[in-house]
Amino acid sequence: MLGPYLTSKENNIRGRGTLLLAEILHRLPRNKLSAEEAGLLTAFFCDRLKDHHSITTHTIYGMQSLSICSSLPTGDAAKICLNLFKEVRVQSLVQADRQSVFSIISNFLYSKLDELRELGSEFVYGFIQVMDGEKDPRNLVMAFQIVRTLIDHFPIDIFAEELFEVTSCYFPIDFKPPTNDPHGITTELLVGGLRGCLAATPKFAEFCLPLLMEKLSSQLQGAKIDAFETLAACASVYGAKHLKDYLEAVWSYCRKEVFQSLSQEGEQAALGCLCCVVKAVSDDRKEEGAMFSLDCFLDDILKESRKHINEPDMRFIHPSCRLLQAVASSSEAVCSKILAYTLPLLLDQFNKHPQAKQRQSIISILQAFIRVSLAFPYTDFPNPVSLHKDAILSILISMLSETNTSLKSVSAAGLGLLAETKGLLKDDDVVLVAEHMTKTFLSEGDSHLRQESVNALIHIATHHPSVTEGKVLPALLEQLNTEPMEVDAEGDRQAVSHVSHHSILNSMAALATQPALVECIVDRFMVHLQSLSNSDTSSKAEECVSTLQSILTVVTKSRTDPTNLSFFYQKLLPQILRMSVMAALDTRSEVGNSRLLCREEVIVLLAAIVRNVVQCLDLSLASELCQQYIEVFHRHNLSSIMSSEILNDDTVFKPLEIDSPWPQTQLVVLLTACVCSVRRGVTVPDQWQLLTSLLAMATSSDHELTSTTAAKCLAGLLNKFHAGPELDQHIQPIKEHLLTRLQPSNSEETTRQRALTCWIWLTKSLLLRSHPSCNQLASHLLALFEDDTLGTQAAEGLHLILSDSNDVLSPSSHADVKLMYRQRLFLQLLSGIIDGYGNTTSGNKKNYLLGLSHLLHFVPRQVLLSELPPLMPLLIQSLHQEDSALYQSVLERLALLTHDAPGIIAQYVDSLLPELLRLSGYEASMRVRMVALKCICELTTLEHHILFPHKMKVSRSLLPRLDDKKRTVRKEAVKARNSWMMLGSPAK
Amino acid sequence: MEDGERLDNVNPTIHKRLPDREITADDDNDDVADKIDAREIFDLIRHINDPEHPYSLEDLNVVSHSQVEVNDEENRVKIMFTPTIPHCSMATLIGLSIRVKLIRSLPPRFKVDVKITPGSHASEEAVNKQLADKERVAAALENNHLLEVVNQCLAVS
Repeated sequence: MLGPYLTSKENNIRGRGTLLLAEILHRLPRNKLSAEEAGLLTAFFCDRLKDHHSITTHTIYGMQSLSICSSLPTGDAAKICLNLFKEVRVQSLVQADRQSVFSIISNFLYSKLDELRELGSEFVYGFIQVMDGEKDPRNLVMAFQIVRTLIDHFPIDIFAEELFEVTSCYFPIDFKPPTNDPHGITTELLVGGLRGCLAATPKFAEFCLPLLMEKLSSQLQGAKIDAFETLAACASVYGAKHLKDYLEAVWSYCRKEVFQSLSQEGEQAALGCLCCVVKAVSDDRKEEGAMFSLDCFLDDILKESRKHINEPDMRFIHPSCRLLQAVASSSEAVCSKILAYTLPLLLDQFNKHPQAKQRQSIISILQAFIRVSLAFPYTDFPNPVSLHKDAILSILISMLSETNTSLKSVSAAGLGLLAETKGLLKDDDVVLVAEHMTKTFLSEGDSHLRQESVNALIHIATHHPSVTEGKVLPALLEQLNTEPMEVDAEGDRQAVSHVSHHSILNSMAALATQPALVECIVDRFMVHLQSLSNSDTSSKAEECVSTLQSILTVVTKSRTDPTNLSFFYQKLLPQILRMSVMAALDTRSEVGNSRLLCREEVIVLLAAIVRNVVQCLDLSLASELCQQYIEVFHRHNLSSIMSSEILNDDTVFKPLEIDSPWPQTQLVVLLTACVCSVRRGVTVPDQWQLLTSLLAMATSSDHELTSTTAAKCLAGLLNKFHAGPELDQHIQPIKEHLLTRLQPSNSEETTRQRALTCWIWLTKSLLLRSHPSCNQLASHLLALFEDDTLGTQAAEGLHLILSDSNDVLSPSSHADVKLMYRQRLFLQLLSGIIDGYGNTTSGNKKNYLLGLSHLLHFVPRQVLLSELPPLMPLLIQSLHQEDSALYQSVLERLALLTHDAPGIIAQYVDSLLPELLRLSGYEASMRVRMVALKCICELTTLEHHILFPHKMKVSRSLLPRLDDKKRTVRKEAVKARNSWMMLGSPAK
Repeated sequence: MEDGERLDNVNPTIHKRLPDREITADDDNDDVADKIDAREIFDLIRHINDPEHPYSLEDLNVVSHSQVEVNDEENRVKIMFTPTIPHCSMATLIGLSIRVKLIRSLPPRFKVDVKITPGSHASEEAVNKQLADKERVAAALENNHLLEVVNQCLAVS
């Protein structure tokens, strides 16, 4: 059918015919054509290239579709490429056509590589002509990839220089993508592509190295950094043969960069480059003469650095040593040589400089060298540090008795580093260091120094646990068991403790790095806890909390190790349960109220420890544990945790009954930590009866911790039960029970509040697992916004429902959390909230606005962008309501929205700014003032033309805010005002 | 050193930074009024960038906590700064940056003096005079190029 058109004498008719054919081919599936058809089309298109130039465009388009055709006959790919090379002057085409040519070539290189390889240099030459002069970044990205393939698979030798010329002319790349560039070409992409080409073959070395040297001396920082990084990438490929003659030059460029220290980035690039170049030369054993050049080079730089190190005013010692360290980090041989030369020099300098400041510098330089030496195993060369170990060790230890604390800190850090170095210190040395560090930790007042000594102790614990157990822990414990003493109380004590028990406990927790230490340390913590709880004074409460926090730290940090986990399960958990139950049973607690283990903060921490262990238990252990807890809590059978002699006959332990005393009922916290943290699939015994008791406690217990936790426990359990009619059956009575209590007519206020809390948790639980009844629960919650007493609590409830909770219902507790539950709730409630806001009385409007603000906080950005525009007027309305909590919540939202949806906020700047400026002086709450100022500051990220008309007014209106009575507010005001003053300045 | 002609001080000593101000319970209490003190002023100027080096004025010890004096009741602030070397050509610019930062950040009731630490600079008096001259400071800020340089020093890095 197309025949007459394709053979027409009119150029444009032939052209359109060809275009139609090409378009059809593009729409065919890639395996549709038979080999003959494809062959015919190839011949046709190749022929068309010789035709009128206006047809070339369409022909190339057609060829592009053939290039991905799977049935192309052998030889046709080569034919197409050769014809392209021969007939088309690619660089005279427009960008889109050039892109087609590049993608034809790259498609064939991918699918028909072997066929094209037979063309050899001819293909290389053809491509060089195609690429020569290309300017479009999109095409260049493709072209660079093609060049890589050519280098890897084609004989490029005769055209190496030409190929290098057409690629290297783009170096260094200074392309900046236009803002909102739709093509996604980044500078990094281009730089990476080009760098890959240059570093692809040693054949480029002789051309590339002179070019790089020229760029290394560039005045442009960007070009220089690119050159450093490219040289680093090329070094290992080019090898010693080409690099050995450039060592001197590279060194001097790097030295210049480091000594000038114009930017951190430049210095890092230079040091990295230096390291890579030296490494390439030193690793290349085959190259003759390389070793000799390297040795000469090292001798030269060492001689030069020696001058800098020995200079009395130490002006250049830091940059000079940074260079040496970069060189030393290249290989074991070089490191050995450099350190062997440098360390004695530094030690010598150390003795020449008596002042603390200089000594501190030298020690930190020494450390940097030692750190470099850690990278190598020292199989072929001696470890340069071990030669000078004794000298360094004695210097560091002697510095600990100096008066200057920063000198001492540096020394402590140095000792830590020595302990970290494998096989460096002998056992006696380790003990010595451990003793000194323990003493420093216990007797020094400076917190930085103490932290350094703890770090050193941590290294010792990691590498030498036995020393920690034998020496360090006993010393710390002894300190822990002595009361903090007044300085004058005991004159003969040499080391007066500056250390609080709190920080001893913290450091002990930090030392638990190995399973053996974990067990040992947790045991001591528990003993300590027991002795604290016996002392029965509330003054110990703080220490009790610190101890528990330390146990929690150890548990969270080490629970993934199976040895530790089984220790926690077998020893720690039973001990915690026994201690808590005993404390609750102790009748004295009712009177005194001071039993430590019955305090809320303590019991919550104990629960956190239990939760963290239970989360890691496998199914069988977890089931066993649940069984035990149910025995104790639900069936009141204490035999598993204590022997019957201790129990009197009249002891009554019924924690799940409302009439029991609060020390017992609050233990539901522990129960929750156990049954709500197990993996899904563990069946909790007596679960339905348990639900009934929990519901009763949640709605009727007067003890707040008890009732809230019971509600959480209920929610946690319901979230994990198997779906099915049985579950629905049990949810129904719970809902009814709560609904009766929520009725305004027949309940008192506190009962209604408790019922609402439970309702909120229930909603969260079912929403997360996306149970069908969650819609009804959420709607009823919304209906409660109208309630005069419960409205605000209900609105706040949305925050609780949507935020991540860290105990029950969190993914780490294996809760059933379905995707996108936040969006679902958002979409469900949004219209209700908007209507409710419109219809309600003015007093309740703020509940809807608060609810809206919470919803917006959690909704993902994509949903937000589409839903936000109609809501903006509402948000601005809420800045007129007199309510601090609402202000704060809405302002926080606005600050984030400025980031996430700048386009939408920008439309409202005119109405927002006056409100924000008014609220920045809101007297009743400093928080509101602060976040209003934060919003004002955030606005400066919007586009300049929107803000500029307001600049003068804002800077004037913020003046009084600079004199706010609160410092934290002033800080925000300063930030906001400075950001506004900087508007329009490119420095910003 | 043959490489460093462009800079006045090629290899400045870097000093330790002060830790961030600790937040006290009073800071969060809406009823307690916090006075403007020396530390607060120092926190305003410590992060100003040095015109030559990628460091802050605090890093180079050009400004320090002890060289800031404040009298909140009498509305006076006095700041001394110490150029890293006595012939530092950037001294005026540094002083101007400090001044501009304070103009933007302090309530207008304060009278601010910015001076060079006595004996630390070759042309101390000239610089002090320039910095104290309100007209000249205002005129300097009319100059767009100069304002740009100052803004660069004040940019949040």
